[in-house]
Amino acid sequence: MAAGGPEGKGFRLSQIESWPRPLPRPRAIEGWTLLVTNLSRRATKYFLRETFGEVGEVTRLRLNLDDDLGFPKGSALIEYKNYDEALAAINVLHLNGMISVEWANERDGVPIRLLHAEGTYVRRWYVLVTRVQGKVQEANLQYLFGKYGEVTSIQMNHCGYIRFPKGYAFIEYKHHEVACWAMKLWNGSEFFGDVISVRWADDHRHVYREIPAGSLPDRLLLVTGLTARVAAAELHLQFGIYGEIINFETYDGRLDVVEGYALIEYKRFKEARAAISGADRNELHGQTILVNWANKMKPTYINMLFDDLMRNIFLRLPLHSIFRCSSVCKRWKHIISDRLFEDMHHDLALKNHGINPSMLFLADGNEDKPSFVYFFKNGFKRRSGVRGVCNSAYLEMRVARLSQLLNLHCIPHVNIGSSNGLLCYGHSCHCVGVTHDVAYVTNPLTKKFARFARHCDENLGPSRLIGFAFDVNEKKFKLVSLTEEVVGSKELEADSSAHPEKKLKKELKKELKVDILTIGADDVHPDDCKRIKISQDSFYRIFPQLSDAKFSSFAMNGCLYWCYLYSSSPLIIALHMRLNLFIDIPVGDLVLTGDRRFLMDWKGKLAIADVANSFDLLPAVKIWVREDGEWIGQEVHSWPDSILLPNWIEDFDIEMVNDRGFFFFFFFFFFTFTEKNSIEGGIEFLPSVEMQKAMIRSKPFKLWFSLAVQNPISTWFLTMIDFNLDISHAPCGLALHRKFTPVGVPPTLGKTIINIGILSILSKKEIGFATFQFSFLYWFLMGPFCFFYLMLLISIHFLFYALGLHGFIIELFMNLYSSDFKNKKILFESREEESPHR
Amino acid sequence: MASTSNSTSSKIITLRSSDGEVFEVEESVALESNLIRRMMEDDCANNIIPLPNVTAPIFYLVIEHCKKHAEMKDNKEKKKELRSQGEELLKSDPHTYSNLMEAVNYLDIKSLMDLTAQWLADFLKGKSPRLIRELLKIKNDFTPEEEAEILERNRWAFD
Repeated sequence: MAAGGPEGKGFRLSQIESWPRPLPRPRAIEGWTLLVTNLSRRATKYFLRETFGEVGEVTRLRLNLDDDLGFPKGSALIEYKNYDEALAAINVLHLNGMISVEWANERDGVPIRLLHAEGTYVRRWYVLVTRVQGKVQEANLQYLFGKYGEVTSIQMNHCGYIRFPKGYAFIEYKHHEVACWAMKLWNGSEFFGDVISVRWADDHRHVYREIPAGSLPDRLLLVTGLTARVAAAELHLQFGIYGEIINFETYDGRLDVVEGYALIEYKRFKEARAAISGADRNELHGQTILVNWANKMKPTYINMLFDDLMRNIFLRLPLHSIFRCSSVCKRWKHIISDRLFEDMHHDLALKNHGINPSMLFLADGNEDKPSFVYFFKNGFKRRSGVRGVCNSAYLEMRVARLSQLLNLHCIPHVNIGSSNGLLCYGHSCHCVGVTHDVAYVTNPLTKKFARFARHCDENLGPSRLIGFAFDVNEKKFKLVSLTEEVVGSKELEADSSAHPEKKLKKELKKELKVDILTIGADDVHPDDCKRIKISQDSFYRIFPQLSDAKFSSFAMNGCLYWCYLYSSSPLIIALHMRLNLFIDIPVGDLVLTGDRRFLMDWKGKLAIADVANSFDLLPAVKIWVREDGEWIGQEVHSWPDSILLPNWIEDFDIEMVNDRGFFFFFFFFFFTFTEKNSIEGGIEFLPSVEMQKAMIRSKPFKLWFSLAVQNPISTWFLTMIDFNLDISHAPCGLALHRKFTPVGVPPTLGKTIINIGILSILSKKEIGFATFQFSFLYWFLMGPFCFFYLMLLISIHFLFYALGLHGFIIELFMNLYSSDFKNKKILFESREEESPHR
Repeated sequence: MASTSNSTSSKIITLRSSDGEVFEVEESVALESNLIRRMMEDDCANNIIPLPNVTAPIFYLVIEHCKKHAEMKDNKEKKKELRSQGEELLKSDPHTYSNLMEAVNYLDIKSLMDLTAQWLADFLKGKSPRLIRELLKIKNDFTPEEEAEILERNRWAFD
């Protein structure tokens, strides 16, 4: 972003005169403000001042910083004293180095000053009128408020939902004096039979829910003074005699509450009134109960407490109460879903319990943000922001960690899916002809889990669990198990007579069958098992494409989805849970270009996320939303960094370090050799789709790569291989992608600095990147040493592998060469025995 | 003000609330407040210490609770009693509660802060959002759709 660059330096104002200039040219009082967006996160004030100072005198500069983290948000406000200089800045710097420079305040393409004053471009004055009756028309307001001055616009909001006008209107005045006058005059006056209030419309937040008086009759009662012994059923009985109760809420019996309350909503106003007159001051269990209208709203005092006080209070609550509080009002929700609160909660949990807390936060689902799940960091370092996106593809990555958390070390980490905040993982094991399907469903928040088991028929081939969903209405889990069955000869003959051409196909393929198990939330064994033969051709195409690890379903809106998006013609198949029907979802001619593609829930609609793994801090994310049978693409800009890969790598790959160290070398060698041509120009290369597939298939890879990231020894291996490819490299420092800023050795010998993105596929679909820097000089110095050292290592590896001590040797090396490892617990238990499906 | 047992060197500190009333408080009690302590340390508390953010009735409550808290340090029954008092206060007069809370926050009294925050936390525990709204008179500023969405999302918390 060398904006301004050499051509900006010799800049003269006289050059600008010939440029087209918007007219009219109002006079500035406060200077001319420009809005600079699309800035790098590494932009500094100094840099901005330098760059923009080349064009003219910068009077004010404001770099917008993120509240929590303090890094630049990517936008800045820059104020020039002169119009010409500001215009010059736009002309020279706009889209130069990809930053965009615009007028900060403009109307119809003509810039306006920052502050209002006399002149043509004046701020409009908005007045808010509330308690407007339903029958009031716009013309009535126009008449009343337009009496003493010009009204530029009137905005009345209607609520189609209850066919009521919302009871307020915005009136826009041209002149401040008139607005003031109107306020003074009409505030508190009677208008169509109601006293209207007129005030400045600065604060919009307080008006949205203003309901005209009397529009909702009171039917809600608040009962206080109950003893803890009173059961809900008893209350129901007590109050049921007055009329039909449509809604009933009482305090949580699980907790020791001193005094009880209940909310009772009757269907009719009359019944509620009868209940008050009948039940008020009655005795129940020796205590007088009070019954009164519930929604007598008074100002909210509690809600005036400062945010940090509220945080202090929320921190004392158990988890489920926190989430309940988040649905009390917007402010509380905001406080709770705030990142600061998350951090505080996490720290507190660490401090109090000394355990690794896990926490799932459903963050704010704003208009332009998808819903996210935040997992709390639970590991070695205090805070490295472990986050995942709320869909199965991302939740899945955390499963290994979760199982650890839940003290379920023995569970093989095959994720089946996630649904409604529940995670399901499990496996099928084959013991002498008998297949057991075992599934664990866990709620990471409550840390509770359920285990389901099923014995399959002996006659069938191996089965595996491929899908999981939770039916909210029926409160039942649905598990989908896939069985490959060799089609019997009889069936084939019968088929062949009807469809002779199909016979060939069937002979080649095994038949896939799907069992849909329905399990009650409290049961262990399935209630219901339905077997479906799959006829869809796409299903046959999807499943072989995916390795075990990639079998993760995605549940949404009563359907389970499987997808294969890494091909030129993406495939999505859905299983309707209620109808037990497989449906092909046409993808059409959707072109996906990103390196990570997954299904997600975008505001209740099925969507494909297409994420490009760039080395930028903000990856380009495209979302394809399916609406009315069509895929509509949209770019997402406000994607938080949670989707980035590097956050995971740190604590995940260590666990993956396995004991098969030596053989990875050959895999690695092979890989590097075959992909030689893709290292072009010395810039980061991203593995092609085929490569990804190849790597996913060959499990050892990931282990090796993660080792390469962490361990100096393995980077020497890397060097060695590159040497064979006639690319002279040597490790000069490795930086995790997150700390991408090249901090290693400064570039020596021209172009030999090469960044290579190393793909490391971790436990599941997880793809991590590490960045290495190499320089010729370093290699020159270190190369021979490395080579001999490597030879030594190889021979030791051979020796130890032969002796069966390979796990030990890696541990030894890591302890020797990486001080980082000493602080971290490395799990060296062999995973081989744990994955029976392999 | 009643004196506590170990008042060997009980220096009296004079404090003035925002509405002009003057309080005489023992040093040991006053020093519970980090704000006052800091003022004393900086030697700007020679005469009357003004407390512009605290009104007299609230300040009286604060002092009372400070003393109670000091007494109950090793008495578990009283601790329970104090806890139940919070429930009563919150139910009858949330306004006073929030004023008290703010005053405590301003005076920076840690022990009381814990107590008052715990009151509200106990109060919120196990209650449904709707009940909380009604009891604390908080306006529901969600639209019905938004509310349904949040409830749906946090469904697990309500089971």
